[in-house]
Amino acid sequence: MNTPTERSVSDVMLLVLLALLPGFCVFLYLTGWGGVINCMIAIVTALIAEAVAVRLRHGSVRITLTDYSAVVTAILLALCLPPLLPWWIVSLATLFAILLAKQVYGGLGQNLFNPAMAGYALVLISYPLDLSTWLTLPEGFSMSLSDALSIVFSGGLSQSEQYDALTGATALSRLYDLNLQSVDLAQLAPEISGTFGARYSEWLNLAFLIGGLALVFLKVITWHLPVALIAGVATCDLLIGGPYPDLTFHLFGGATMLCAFFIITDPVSAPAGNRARLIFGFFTGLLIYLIRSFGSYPDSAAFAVLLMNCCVPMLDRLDNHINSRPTR
Amino acid sequence: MNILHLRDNRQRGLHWSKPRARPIETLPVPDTLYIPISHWQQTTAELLVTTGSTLYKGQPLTRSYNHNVIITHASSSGEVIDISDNRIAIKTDGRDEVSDELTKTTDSLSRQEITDIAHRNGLTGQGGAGFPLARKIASLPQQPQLLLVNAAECDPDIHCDDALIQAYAPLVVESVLTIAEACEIDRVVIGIENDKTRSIEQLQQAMARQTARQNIELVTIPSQYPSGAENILLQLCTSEQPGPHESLASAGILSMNIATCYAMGQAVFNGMPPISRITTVVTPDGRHRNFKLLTGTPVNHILDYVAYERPIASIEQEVPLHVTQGGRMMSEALDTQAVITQQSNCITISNTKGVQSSVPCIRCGACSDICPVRLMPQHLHKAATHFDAQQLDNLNVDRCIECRCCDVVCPSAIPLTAQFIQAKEHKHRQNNEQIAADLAKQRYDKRQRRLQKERSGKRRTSLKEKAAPATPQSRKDLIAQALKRSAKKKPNDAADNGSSH
Ligand code: SF4
Ligand code: SF4
Repeated sequence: MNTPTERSVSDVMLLVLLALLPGFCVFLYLTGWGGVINCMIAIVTALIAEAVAVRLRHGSVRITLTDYSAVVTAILLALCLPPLLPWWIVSLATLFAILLAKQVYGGLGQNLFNPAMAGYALVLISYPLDLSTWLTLPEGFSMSLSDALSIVFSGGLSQSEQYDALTGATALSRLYDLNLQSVDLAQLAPEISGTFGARYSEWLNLAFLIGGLALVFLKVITWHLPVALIAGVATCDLLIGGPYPDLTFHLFGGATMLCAFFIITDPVSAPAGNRARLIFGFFTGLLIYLIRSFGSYPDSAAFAVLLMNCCVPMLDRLDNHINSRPTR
Repeated sequence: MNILHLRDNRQRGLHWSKPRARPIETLPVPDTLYIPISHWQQTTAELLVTTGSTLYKGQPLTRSYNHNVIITHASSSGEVIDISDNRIAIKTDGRDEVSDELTKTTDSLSRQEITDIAHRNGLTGQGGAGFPLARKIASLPQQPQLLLVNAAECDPDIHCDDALIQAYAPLVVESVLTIAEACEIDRVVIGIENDKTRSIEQLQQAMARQTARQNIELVTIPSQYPSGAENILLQLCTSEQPGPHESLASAGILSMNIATCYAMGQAVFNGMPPISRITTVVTPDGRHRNFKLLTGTPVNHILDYVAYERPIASIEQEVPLHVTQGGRMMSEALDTQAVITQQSNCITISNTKGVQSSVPCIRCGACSDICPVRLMPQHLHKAATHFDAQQLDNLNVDRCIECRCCDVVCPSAIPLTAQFIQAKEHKHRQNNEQIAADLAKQRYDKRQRRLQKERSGKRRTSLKEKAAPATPQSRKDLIAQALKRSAKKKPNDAADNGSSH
């Protein structure tokens, strides 16, 4: 019995990392050194945390680290975080993601919640100000590395003297502010929308879409989850959406595509059957739209995903039940 | 990184692109052959030779009247040098002289005759399980409906049947027809993968020459694993499905591997028992070669030959070689003492053991997407880990055909199939224990009932005894009493009679 597995977990994770590459490049262009530093801190923290946890659980550190799942979690997390955060917020988010959301449940394959989203949600709730402070986009490496480092290690952007000079709002948070002020949105459209989606994040989303399609093509993920999520967002938009912001704003704004192709497709925290996957994706899309439009956070992918993660065991059972009826 | 070429298809399974089969080569006769002797439970085969006997090629070594015992033959000429419990060692003389006692047949055969030929020649299924052919034919019902010839070898490493058809298509077709006629089967189907174009051509040509006889349907099936598994082939070729627990033979379907048909042809037309077989040998450098090997050839002999011809780096460096049998999917490890048998379809020589450490299931669903019988291996995996018999049943673990597709795609490298096999065994053991326990309980209940009946019966008799005179009565007394009673009765009888007049 020595058939080698055709594609091991590390292969899968490497493919995911490769597919993240276009989005990652756009992200770095938008966030500059701040994004690079976030990623570095997240990856290092994730690897150390994973190694320590596995050691404590008497597992093999080498096998665990080389499945690259911790790296993927760290990068997905970093892609959600705004640049120039104080370093300990990034570390905290990563530690929570790896230790409490994953290893405590028993490590790879056992976690109920998507680790990256759990980590992100924790810091989003705990440090709302820092988490909603974005640089004026695109940054494009205009700040020097040493400046970026000094901001990161001295309390982050929100504590920095250049706060006003440097920060701007993302399209979604601007939309959120405008919503609160009940301004006529259509007039302000040019301020927040770009060529086809939300300003700037449209390119990020497009890049994730391309990478995600590559994953579908390579059969790393199936089409069910992303398509269902997009369908969920679209259905909401058709039913309750006003004239503005339109559907492309929602699809190419915020973390929609990242969520559709990279976050909910994490096999561990998504249902296993295709039928259940369709339901799961659809409702995640629905929640993303609803929380965005009516909730108290500008973007909502993390909460939508975590809420749906809770339903996975039930969806699985349902699917199982349907499938295990005798077929003949 | 290894990016799999999986194509979706109506039928689930693995797709590989296979190289063309290479023509058949022969090896020099090895110095010593070790012919395995088959026993079946308590029935041992009766030995026909002793140490020192001179043998000719094709000469029977054992004899038995039990169809379960497979009769073996000398695969080359020489002298018996050692007989142990399960094998006979033959020192070959290199002349390879054929025995002159071989009986050829040319007339049409009856079912009984073909069963006898199968038994006398020790024919077995060459696909893998090695089931005695005589028994298979004997267990067919009166009116079998289908002869299904399996020419699909879906394992990406096995090419021996392809090579065999290209070399011997006419004999194979004739043999198939003979078998069908002898067993009175009207419908004959040969299932073959659609990418074996040369073999298909050869078969068509051979069939064209036999138009006077029965019609053979040649069905091409997609080239993918595991379409060569009996049940799946049947479904692909005829869209029939056997019941869950019946064997194909008892359902009237005679399923035979094409190599078995060839062996049958050799036995019928040339009188030559199956003493060689065509085996694919995969060398450490990844080349596939087809050899015609004598039964009983030690695996070491093949190793030596292959290494001599084209030095294998690892042999020179003394890296241990691993020899497995059965291709990439069904592989099982062989030790260095192993020999070629009728079931050796593929020998793989590799210098890596390829053991992977598995990580936990990441619930990716790849296994359920690939499973050809549409089970859900990841759920089965969970159920089998905790041995949840009910859940295993719900998930139809018994329908798993042990094809190992799920193992291949599992990114966590979990030995799923091995686990399922174990779970099945465990379940059957538990079932059997349950049945035994039920039987014991029934027996106990029955005994309790009987005892109770006896007791209450005894009470009734003891009551009667109380009513009867306490003194024990001799047989004589009893007779006397009876006489008295009848004497008393007689006058009444007479009175009755009188009144009736
Ligand atoms: S569960 Fe059984 S039948 Fe299904 S792929 Fe695995 S081994 Fe094959
Ligand atoms: S293929 Fe392996 S890892 Fe994926 S769901 Fe099946 S058992 Fe789990």
